[in-house]
Amino acid sequence: MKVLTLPFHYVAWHYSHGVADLWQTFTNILWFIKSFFSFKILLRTMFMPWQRLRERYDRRRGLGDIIGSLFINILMRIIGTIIRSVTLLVGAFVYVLFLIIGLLFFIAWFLIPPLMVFLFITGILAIIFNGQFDLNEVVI
Amino acid sequence: MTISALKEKAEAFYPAIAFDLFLPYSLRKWIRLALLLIALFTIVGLSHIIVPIGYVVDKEFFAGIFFISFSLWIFMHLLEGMYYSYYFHDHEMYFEVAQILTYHDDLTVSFLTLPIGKYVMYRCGLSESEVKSFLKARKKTMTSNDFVLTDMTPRDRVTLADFGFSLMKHDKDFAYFLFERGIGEEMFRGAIDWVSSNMYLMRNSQRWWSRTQLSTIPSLGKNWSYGQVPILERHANLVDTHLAPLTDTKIDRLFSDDVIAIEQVLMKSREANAIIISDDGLTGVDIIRTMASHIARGVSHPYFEDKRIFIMHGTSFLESAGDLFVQEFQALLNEAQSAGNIILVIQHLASFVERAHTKGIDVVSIMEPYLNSNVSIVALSDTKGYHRTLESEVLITRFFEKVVAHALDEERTLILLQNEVYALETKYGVLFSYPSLIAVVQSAQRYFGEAVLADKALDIIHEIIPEIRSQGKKLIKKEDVLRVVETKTHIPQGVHSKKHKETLLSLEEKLHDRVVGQQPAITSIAKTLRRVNAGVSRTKRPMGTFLFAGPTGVGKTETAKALADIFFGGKENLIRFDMTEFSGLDGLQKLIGSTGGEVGLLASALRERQYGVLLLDEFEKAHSDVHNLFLQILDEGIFTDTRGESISARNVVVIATSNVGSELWSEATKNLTAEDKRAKLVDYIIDNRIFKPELLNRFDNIVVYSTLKENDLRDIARLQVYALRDRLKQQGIDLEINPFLLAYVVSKGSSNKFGAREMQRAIADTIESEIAEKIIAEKVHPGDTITFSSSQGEGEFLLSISPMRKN
Repeated sequence: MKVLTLPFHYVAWHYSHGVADLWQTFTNILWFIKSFFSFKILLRTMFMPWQRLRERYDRRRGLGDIIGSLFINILMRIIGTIIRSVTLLVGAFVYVLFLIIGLLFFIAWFLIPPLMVFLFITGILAIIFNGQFDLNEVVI
Repeated sequence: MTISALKEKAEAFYPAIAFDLFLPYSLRKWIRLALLLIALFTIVGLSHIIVPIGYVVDKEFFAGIFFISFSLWIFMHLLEGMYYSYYFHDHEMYFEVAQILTYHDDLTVSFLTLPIGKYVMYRCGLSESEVKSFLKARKKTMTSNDFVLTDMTPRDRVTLADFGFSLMKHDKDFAYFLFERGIGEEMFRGAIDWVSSNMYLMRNSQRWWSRTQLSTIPSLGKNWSYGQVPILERHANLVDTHLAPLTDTKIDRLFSDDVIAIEQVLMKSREANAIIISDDGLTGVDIIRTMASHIARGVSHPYFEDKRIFIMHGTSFLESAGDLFVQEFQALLNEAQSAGNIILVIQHLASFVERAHTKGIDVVSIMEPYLNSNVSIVALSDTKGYHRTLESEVLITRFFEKVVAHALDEERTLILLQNEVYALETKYGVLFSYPSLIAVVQSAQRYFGEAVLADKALDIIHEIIPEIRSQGKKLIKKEDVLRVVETKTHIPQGVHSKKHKETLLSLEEKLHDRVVGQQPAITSIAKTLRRVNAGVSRTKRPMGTFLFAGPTGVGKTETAKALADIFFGGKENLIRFDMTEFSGLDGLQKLIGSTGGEVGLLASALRERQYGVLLLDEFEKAHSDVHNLFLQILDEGIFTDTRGESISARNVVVIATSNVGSELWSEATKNLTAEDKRAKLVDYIIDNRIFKPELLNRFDNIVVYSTLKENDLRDIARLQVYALRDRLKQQGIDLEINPFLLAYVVSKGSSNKFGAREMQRAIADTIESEIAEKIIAEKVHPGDTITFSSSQGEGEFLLSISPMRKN
């Protein structure tokens, strides 16, 4: 018999602890996005050469070599900066996207229980009043 | 805490408990899958399969089914979310405890019926049918009102172990049921702890949204912002945080102190290198893995958040790189330095340095320029290697900060094993009972003293698994472990075999068949061995240590021989040393080896045969340094030879014999009790400074062997003559044993000075010689019987031969 009270307990949880847990999950995923795209590291190393690849100077080998090395090093920094910027942008986009999705989900969370009940009852009615029930009317 | 207070706390879990009761955890995932399939089928199947092939279907009916199954599917997921929410909620007790408290009024029934309790019992090595029969046969039920929670661990939450421990205290029938099967209170608590921890791990691994799980996904930025390390990747491995014992907080606790110590060293602005020294040289790896897991979870100091830890086996690198080693090693270090976020861990630094040295390479000098750079080096070494090689290296002591890892004792090894076993069980489909795991650790400690505890314990585990699988069994019990250990060591384990039990119970009788008289000595040995085999005596000592004192020829050595033969399974299990050979200044060196490379006799004998009787004849004659060595052996059952290797003497019975004090015993003292004789002898030994008092104290028992009495001599004569008859029978010749023969042997062989040894000589000189002459002269043939009878001359005998009757 105790199990009959379960839906009521569920509803109580859904609008109390459930919200808190959802918030915790939301912050966990935000933490994960930050960690996955390494925002802090990418910002800190924004202008560093791509994967720290650099050509070493050898003063004895003349100006041509020095300029060559300098060119490669600048190129590596540019590549690094571009890739990091792109990654940061993608990361920021995902972050913002998740913020929006998260927010929508939060709103949806409050609607889920009545929506579920509604779907369930609709299903029952569709079976019981088979043929006499305009499904389109209900769904619309 | 009373039951009402407990039940009040348990109410917080009510919704999850009710849900779990209504739909058990194992069933729920199938229900969810079924609902999803129904929902999918009603949309996809309906429009794409049934309708296209021409069936007329009632769309509304199917739509109704879809709405119901879909809404229920969502609801099941949400209920699951609620279940996890309650399961992991930081209430004042763990979920499982609350579940047991609310399931049934009889808490023992509740515990043993719920899946968690069944799992605990299975981990204890008990089958479901055993538990069922216990519940069926139980006379007195325990109502929850009888229950009070006692002995809580100093934590703020009521754990399942706290509950189980209290249950055992309050339900005597249940406690007896467990005791009867070798499960004591501590073992029960340990098994519950293990099960709870596994359950928590399992549930947590399914919460993909938890920070612990999300942290196992590697990030992008680290590799892009720091340098590539192809050479390092070729010769070293990135410490894999996925395989690390990440989530087990117990494992975390095991190494957290060491991790903090290492982190502090590595955060230094200069010379940020550490050397982790542990007994096994391997504990460092676990510390590093724990550190890596902290970094992955984002719980370490921010300084480490973008660090990558690589672990390298120096000696393997040396061998694989060959002649190019120096260039490769320098390139590797350059690369690590340029990358900017590398922590390089070098395993077995001592052997790496030594091995390189033999090739004329100075590894430490190659590393020197990098020891004060942005690459941090963590070296791992075992204690011996550190003292042998690294301690004297100036660069090591200057640039590396020493961190001594906490030793892994039995308790810590057990926790480590629980973690390792978790993965192996899943992989091989077996299950270790908790008693079996304890047996693994204890056996590793007791029988493989020379090696590292955790390493040897894991070896045993890896050997048991295929054996159990080949037998088609799933549950690994203590007996299985003991059997494997017995096969490996040839040492009988515990009181598990019927024959072994019988030998132990009738040891006095069996020894008396061989040794005449000497009741106190034999009783003392038998009692000691029974204690050891029942597992009630200290394990970190030899199995038994005795000093047998008494005149020559009274049975001291014979007792040792008989013990080796009867209990240890053969005369070859007697290791015998004549201690007069170790009376000089070089006595100690002869036993444990010399610095010049000579192997110690005692060390090699015990390495070869670690189970049996170690007989030290004329112990008093050994040099005092040798006595000091035995002071340690008798106390700890272990010693170190000159090569620095630990040698175990924990599986031998040490018997030291001595003739000291023989002059104390005369007619006047013959009525003294064994205890009085012992006291008199001890006083004598101490007064004459023959042994130090502390050495005497180390013996389990000092046994005074008395001079043989007339009837003892007769018994010995009988034994000797019977032994002679057995030898003759091997040639097909019989010897008639009559009163004359026995009286003759006693009269010829009695000697106060040499005891029974004189009797052996007498038999050899007279009877045996006479028979030998007849055999050589072919006067005796197989099938004949020899009889000795009295002759007219005093002390003479008449030998007659009865030929085999011929038909």
